[in-house]
Amino acid sequence: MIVWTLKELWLNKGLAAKGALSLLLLWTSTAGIVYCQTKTSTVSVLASVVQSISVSSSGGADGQGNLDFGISVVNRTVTINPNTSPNASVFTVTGAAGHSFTVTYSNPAVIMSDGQGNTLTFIPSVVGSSSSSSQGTAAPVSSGVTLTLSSTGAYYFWLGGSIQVPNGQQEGTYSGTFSLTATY
Amino acid sequence: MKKLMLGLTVLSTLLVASQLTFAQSSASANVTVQAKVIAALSITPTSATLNFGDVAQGTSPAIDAASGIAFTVAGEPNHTATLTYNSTATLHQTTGSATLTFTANVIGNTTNSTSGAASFPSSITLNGSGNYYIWLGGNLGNIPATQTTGQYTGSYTITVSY
Repeated sequence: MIVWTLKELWLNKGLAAKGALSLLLLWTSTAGIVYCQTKTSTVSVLASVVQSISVSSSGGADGQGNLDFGISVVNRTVTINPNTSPNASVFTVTGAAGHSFTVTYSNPAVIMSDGQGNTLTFIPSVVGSSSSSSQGTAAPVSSGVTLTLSSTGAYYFWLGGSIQVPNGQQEGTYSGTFSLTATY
Repeated sequence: MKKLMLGLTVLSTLLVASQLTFAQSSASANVTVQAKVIAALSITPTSATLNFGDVAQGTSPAIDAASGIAFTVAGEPNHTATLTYNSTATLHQTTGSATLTFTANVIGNTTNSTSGAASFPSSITLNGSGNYYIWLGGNLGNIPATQTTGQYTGSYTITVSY
């Protein structure tokens, strides 16, 4: 066995050895200082990796979840009932079975624009259920509430709402974006 | 020291792992909400009264639609609309209880001409200017020879809706 002294290593070996030695010295000195000045305690650190959560949209006027109120004249309120309309948007949340999550969505209103500086206000109405077949009986869901994914790891929301078209509203096509977020 | 180093390594690995999990714990979906505001509908008659004038007992008075009242519908260009109206209306004697039955004749066209007009239109499409034209005529049937003489009046309504 050849025994190198630190001095010989430093003087005779290449850059790699010098770097390794430097790191070793740096680490031992740093660790040593920390070790000397710190009381240690052992804790358990646990993490369980769960299936990531996702949200997809479907239904609506186009099967992609886009909500279309169709036409309206002025001085009228148009409404899509989330419990009864076949054109309600559907949001499907999928994730870990039985896991709780928080749902937030565009609230209390979405400002729709015609691109010409005129606006309409969309008031969303969201109902939810852990069963995909329960649109009719799904309960109203407020933004920010915590819910629990079903035993198959799913939750369903239906979006409707209303738009009040005031007198004097400029004619044209108005659109806005509604967003629904699910967070563990 | 090795144990400490191992511990630190495991701890940092766990921290990295849990951070990765956290980064994937939120998801969103966006949808577009759309509505179209269109011109309100109106229907305007050129005259408020379809006047048969003096009609004699035992006759069958009629007014040709082209000679009756013209209506102009205005609304969203090229948009469909629905016309609703009754086929008949009852005229009441102004100073008594006798009645006459008015049977309507309604024709309509996208141009302001009775030529080629459709009979009894119900589903219509407004023209490129947002107009549709309607004409109302009709008859009072066979007025019996015993019909009470006097003034008769009634109302007749045509409704247009999107």
